[in-house]
Amino acid sequence: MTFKGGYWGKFLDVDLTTRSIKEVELDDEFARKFLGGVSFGNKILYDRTPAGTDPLSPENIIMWMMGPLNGTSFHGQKMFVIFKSPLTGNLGFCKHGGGIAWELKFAGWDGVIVTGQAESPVYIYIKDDHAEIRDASRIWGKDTMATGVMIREEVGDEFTKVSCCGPAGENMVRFASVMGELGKAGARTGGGAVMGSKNLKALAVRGTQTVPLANPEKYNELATKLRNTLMQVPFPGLKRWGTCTYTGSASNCKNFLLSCWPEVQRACSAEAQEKMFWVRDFSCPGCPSVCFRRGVIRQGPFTGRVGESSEYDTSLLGLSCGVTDLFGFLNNVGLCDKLGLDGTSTGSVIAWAMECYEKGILTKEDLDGLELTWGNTLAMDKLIKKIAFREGVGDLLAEGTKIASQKIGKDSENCAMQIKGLEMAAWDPRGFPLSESFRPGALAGTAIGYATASRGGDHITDQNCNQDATGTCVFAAGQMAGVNVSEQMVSLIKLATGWEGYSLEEYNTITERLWTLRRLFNVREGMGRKDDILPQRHYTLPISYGARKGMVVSREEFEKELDKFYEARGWDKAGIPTKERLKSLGLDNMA
Amino acid sequence: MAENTAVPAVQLVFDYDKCCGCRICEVVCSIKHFGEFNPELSRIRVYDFYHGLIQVPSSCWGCRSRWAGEEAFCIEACPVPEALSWYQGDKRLNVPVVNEELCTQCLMCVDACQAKAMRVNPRTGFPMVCDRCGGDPECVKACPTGAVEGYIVPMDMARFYGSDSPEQVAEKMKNHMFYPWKGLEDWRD
Repeated sequence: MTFKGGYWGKFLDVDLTTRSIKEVELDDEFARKFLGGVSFGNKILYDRTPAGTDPLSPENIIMWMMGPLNGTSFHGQKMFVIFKSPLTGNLGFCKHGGGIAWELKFAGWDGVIVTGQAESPVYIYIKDDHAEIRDASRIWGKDTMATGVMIREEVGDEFTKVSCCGPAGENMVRFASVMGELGKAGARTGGGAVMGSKNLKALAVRGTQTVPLANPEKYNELATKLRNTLMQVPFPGLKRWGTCTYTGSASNCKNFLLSCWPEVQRACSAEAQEKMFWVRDFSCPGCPSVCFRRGVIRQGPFTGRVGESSEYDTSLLGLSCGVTDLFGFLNNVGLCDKLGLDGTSTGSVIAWAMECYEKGILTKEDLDGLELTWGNTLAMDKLIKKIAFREGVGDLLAEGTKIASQKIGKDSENCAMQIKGLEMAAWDPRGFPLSESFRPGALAGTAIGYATASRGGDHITDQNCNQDATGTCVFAAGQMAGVNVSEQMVSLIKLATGWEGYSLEEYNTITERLWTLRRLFNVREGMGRKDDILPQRHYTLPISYGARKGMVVSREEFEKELDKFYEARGWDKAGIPTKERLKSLGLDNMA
Repeated sequence: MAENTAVPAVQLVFDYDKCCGCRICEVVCSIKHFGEFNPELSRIRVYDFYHGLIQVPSSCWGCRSRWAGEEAFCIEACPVPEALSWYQGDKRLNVPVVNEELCTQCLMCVDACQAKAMRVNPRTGFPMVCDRCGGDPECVKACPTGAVEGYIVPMDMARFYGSDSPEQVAEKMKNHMFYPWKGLEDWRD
């Protein structure tokens, strides 16, 4: 059956080993069942990779996927990148903003699937229906910002948009990110390393076509209405500072040894960044919630470096490492963006190294002579470059805290704040309800939400599966005051695709289906209940300061709550989805 | 052509400091004129420099060359008399208009426009340019940061709003706003 709108009905399938490029069809039934974006990617990854695939081998797949609302006038466009994670060995996916989320859909594709491994560095260039593999030896080794500039010069089209990996990805740092435009990072779980392992530097896209919609007039009318709602948000937070707004409430201080560190939080706050660093604002295509900031470092040893103000999670580079020097902190955030590192994981890895250094597990000789005390931003700057290029101690740290702490031993495992291999985000679950309810949205940031997250130490992504599947941004949608987001999304999907009888229920099932699908993937990789666990520190170390003083996550209650969570999901006690559940979600042909 | 000095002009003015690159102006422009969303059909475009560092919106300004009492670049470049001329209906609009019956699609005007405001309609091949939406520009109403502003100014003031190319604007912004930027790959020792 052909599509009335919302999809083009075709993926681009690129095999870098044989250098073959072909078109793969997308059928309507599949589209309706999985909706799009991250959801397509999860399903295709499950089907195409056998269990135990080495994430850095040519057999791994990396996909850029589009949802039905990408390439339309609806705001908050996101690009989803899906692959098997080299950091966790599980499902890996991330999203980044930037113009490429429009451009790829304009070019007439619902996604790009890349397999194999090129012999020499290449990038993929797509111009509408034309796609080619081009030589990237000239841009290999360049940072993410220079890559975008150079590719655009090379193809000679100023509207070309780029999604690339930096030097960290080329050197297969396990937490290397996929980068859109400056500061727009698909950071987590190591997509950049997968690109690097394939010798794939970038995906460059230019599209000129109008995305087909079933009912364009009504769709554009509704999208405009919703955009105007977002423009009139009374709460200035995200509009003024981006997710950086919440840095003050981020509670991962000193590698979770503290939950609050006033002088550090003050130094790295959104207000300080706005006063000292800010130059101009930046947003994703079509979105009036302007939540990115550009700035330049105006004094100190890093003077003249440009970058992006921190996000909520990249505040780990400041809070978790005890940084009281604002410009040093912002330099490290910008450095991670330019080198293509995940700021969250990098912050956590450095905080781990700092704690090990304090405890004497790592010595100055181990660290190539770096004085890695809390808050030493000069040493951090050097260390981040070492990690990105895998030089000296950077080679160890580039493996992520899980593997690095296993190599070092000596009780350093207890300093590694990771879940399933992925370093935890800036949110501390201690002192909060284990889970408010088992409704998807209410799990964000709770202990259960953290421990069961399919990617690992991730406090929010699993809770927004259906929004992710549409290809749009959860922050932009969530900010619309007085709007029932789910209902409006269903209306938009109906107007875009023209599906008969698409209901809210069907839309919400996407979340359940995706949770179970991701679980199936991870179970196939040998994950189970034993991995749905927080780091030991959260069960044993009470919060030392503030309103939540003395609080820990109770292990017994946690296990009880986990049982209830599995039951609500339709999984058995070991955390494995039951046959009946798979059948009811339409996943019954999957083992 | 300075005969219009008494008539106030509806002028688009870009505040480059404020542009966030959201491209909502492109959305509303293409929807207004074509009923569909496609930036290629938009008469205002946002140019991106340094991979996301600097955004420069650009559309027709009414042309700097009029300041010196000369003809606009596009009209001067047009080889066919009357194919491209100042819009005579509502003189406040201060925009050129393409006569598609006379236009030969040579696209000399597109090359001549420094601001890259003359664009080609991919459907018909004719040049297209901002028409100020008849005096009430959609992009001005939709801009979330106020980077595209609409002013009604006397024509002799309107001449001051120059038309630099997006590249020239980006170069200026780089030097002024991001001072003291060290350039690409600034992290290398």
